[in-house]
Amino acid sequence: MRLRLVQSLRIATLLILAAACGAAAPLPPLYTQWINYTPANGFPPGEVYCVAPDGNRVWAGTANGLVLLENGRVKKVFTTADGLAGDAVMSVAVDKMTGDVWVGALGGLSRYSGGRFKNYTNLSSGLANDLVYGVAVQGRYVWVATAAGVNRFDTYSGDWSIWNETNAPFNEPWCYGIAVTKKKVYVAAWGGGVLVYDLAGHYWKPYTDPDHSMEIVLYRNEGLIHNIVSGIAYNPELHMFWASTYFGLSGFDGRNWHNYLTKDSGLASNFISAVQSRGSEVWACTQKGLSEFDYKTKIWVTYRPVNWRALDAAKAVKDGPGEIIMSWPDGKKRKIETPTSLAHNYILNVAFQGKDIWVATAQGLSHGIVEPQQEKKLYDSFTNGR
Amino acid sequence: MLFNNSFRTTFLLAGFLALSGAAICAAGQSRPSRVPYASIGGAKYAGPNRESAYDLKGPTIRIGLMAPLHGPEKSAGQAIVAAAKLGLQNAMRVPLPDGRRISLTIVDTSVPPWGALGDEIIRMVIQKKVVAIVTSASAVTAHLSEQIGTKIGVPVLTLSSDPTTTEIHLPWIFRMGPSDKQQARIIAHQLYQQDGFHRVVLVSELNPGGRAGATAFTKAMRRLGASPPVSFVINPSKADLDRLAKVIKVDSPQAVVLWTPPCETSLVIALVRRAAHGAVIYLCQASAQAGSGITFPLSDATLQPSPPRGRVFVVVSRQWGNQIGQQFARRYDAETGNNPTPVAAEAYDAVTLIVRALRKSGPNRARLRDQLAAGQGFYGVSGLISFDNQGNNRAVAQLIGLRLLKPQAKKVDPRQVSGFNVVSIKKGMVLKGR
Repeated sequence: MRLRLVQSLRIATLLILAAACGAAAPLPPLYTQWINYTPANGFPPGEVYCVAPDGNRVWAGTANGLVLLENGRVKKVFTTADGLAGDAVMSVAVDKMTGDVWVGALGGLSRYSGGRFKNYTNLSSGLANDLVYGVAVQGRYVWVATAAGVNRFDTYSGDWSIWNETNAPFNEPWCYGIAVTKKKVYVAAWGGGVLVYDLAGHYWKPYTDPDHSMEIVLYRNEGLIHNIVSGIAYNPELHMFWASTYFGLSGFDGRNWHNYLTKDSGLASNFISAVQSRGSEVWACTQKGLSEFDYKTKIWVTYRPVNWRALDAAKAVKDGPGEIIMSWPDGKKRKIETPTSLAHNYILNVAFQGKDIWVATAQGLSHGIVEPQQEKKLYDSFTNGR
Repeated sequence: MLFNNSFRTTFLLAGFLALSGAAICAAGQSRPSRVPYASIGGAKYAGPNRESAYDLKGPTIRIGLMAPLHGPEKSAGQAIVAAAKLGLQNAMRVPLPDGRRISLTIVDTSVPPWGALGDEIIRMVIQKKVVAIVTSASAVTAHLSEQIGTKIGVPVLTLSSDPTTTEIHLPWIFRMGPSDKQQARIIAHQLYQQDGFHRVVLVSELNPGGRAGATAFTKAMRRLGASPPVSFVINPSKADLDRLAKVIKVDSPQAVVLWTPPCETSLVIALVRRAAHGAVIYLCQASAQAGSGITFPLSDATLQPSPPRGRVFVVVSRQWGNQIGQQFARRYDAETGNNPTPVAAEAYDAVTLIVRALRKSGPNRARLRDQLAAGQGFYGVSGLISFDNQGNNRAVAQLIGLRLLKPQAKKVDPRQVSGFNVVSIKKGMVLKGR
């Protein structure tokens, strides 16, 4: 009798623990409402490369200039005619202390301050190269990823520092992306893998493809999936950096690598242009949709237009419905439709604004909003479906 | 008792078998799989801009052409431009259906790669709105174009042999000639398996192109079970040929493999002739461009499949010297007074290919890319052009023996030329035999 009681108590404890664990790992958010910015509502045509929310404003870098959205409307499109260093804007970063906006363009680096642009180019400053792919603000310093190495610009003194293959372990100096924290700088290098700069120790540490073979990956979690890295993000909550490649997604937690391909995950495509991460979420910007991976629950969620194959084949029927594909760790998948959709399936970047997300696509900017009631309904339907 | 003993024996035997089985299973499980986790597949483009709204406007469609037109690589660049112009002339003998013209927008790549070259590519892609880019044989130029081409969406046809340009999964790049990997395997096979050479010196330049070539050759040798060669990396900005000459003299190589730019090829060949007279010289295609002192025969009759020792071999397409190639060579000779090199012939084919594809796609970068990727291949003046799903040319390559241009080879005194400097020497084990 006593034995039964003890066993019952044990089971109850396990159930409580399991429930507690479940509560600690909430399900990933579901974005069911999309508001798109395209030429139809004053947005420039073509690719949107990057996006940076800034209070009630949103900055978007496009193939045809820098767009300022204010309260959900296009307020201004800045181009070289307004003093921008280049019309193709690859990256934007907002200095939270000064309100200055730093713009990385194919043509140089621009600082938007007090309603004016000041440009920094290879000829007029210490900028390593005019092909600026990434920019990030770290206190008084602005870090710049260029086609000829990494720059650090001291906004107080005006000094420029440069790191390339001559003074750092860069296999190639072509830098495609940059992310900063208080202690480290993470660089995505084209052909050079991921390079991490330790600010206290003043040294670089490279992370490269361990099998030294560009066209194959021998073992799943052996190391960085490919040496050509298209984007980089650091997540302080997971203590991990995430690297996007055109070959798959890689994450590193300081000890182990976590690699994902379409064949073993819910990733929409191995061709990933950028990656961003917050909380337990990792967002991969692929050419076949926006894939979110929840690191704790191991659930994948992919967003894309229902008619994405038609968009790809130029038989565009835009502003149609969207689809959400959920993949559970057991491999089961479920697809549902939403009334609105991302502007395009070819995703180039993503940024966070509170719970909302802003998505840079190859044909417009999309604002993703969670509708709690709709989200609950969907999760209920998913649970019933399973 | 007997039963007990028998039972015990059976039990022990069963236990032993079970343990053995478990051990074998465990060993099987711990053995790494021979199937890689991932290998590169087809690079498909799921992006936009195929709509007519994204067609390039204006009466002239521009094709970007990147070639060095000043400095030590000038001859190679001029040869590429001359061949591309001939290609355009020939391809436009039948005008486009909509009456549009096609022109070449030429960018001089002799500017510093980390400075003005990026700006030049941007000007070409964004302001001039070229429909496609043809790059020179430089790996740096190819990679820079590829990076921008991927972001903006512009097809890139490269004359560079750097294999990493197509080992990325990018749908925008196509290689006209054999990659370093293909060339290295052909040379290594000839050296080790056909000729039985085991004292080999590899000379490469200190840049991404030289590095990629040297790596490919070293890998190709390892693949055949041979030891790595004595490897020199030379810096073109410094002058010290004597050290290279000394090492070649000491090592007395049977073969010297060059992955150098053409301007240095002639110097190194002259040096090898002086320091190791009998050594056979093997060149990659980029090393044998115009300005290298190498002349290519006009017809099959002058090709020498196995020339004697002391001669020079170069990698070319198996169809090199075909009928249309010879016609092109005569036209090229009439225009420039020289025989075309394989790289120049590839420039001709690249322009021809773009015009052919444009006739179907119209002036739209994404549709042009689709046409290039879907092409079933054609016989060009450089040989067969047929892309695989990564943009590599599938054509089979071969080695041919060539003669040197006598005036250049004789006049060059390496010690008087401030050409390059040995910056590192890597000595591998010398094979004692095969």
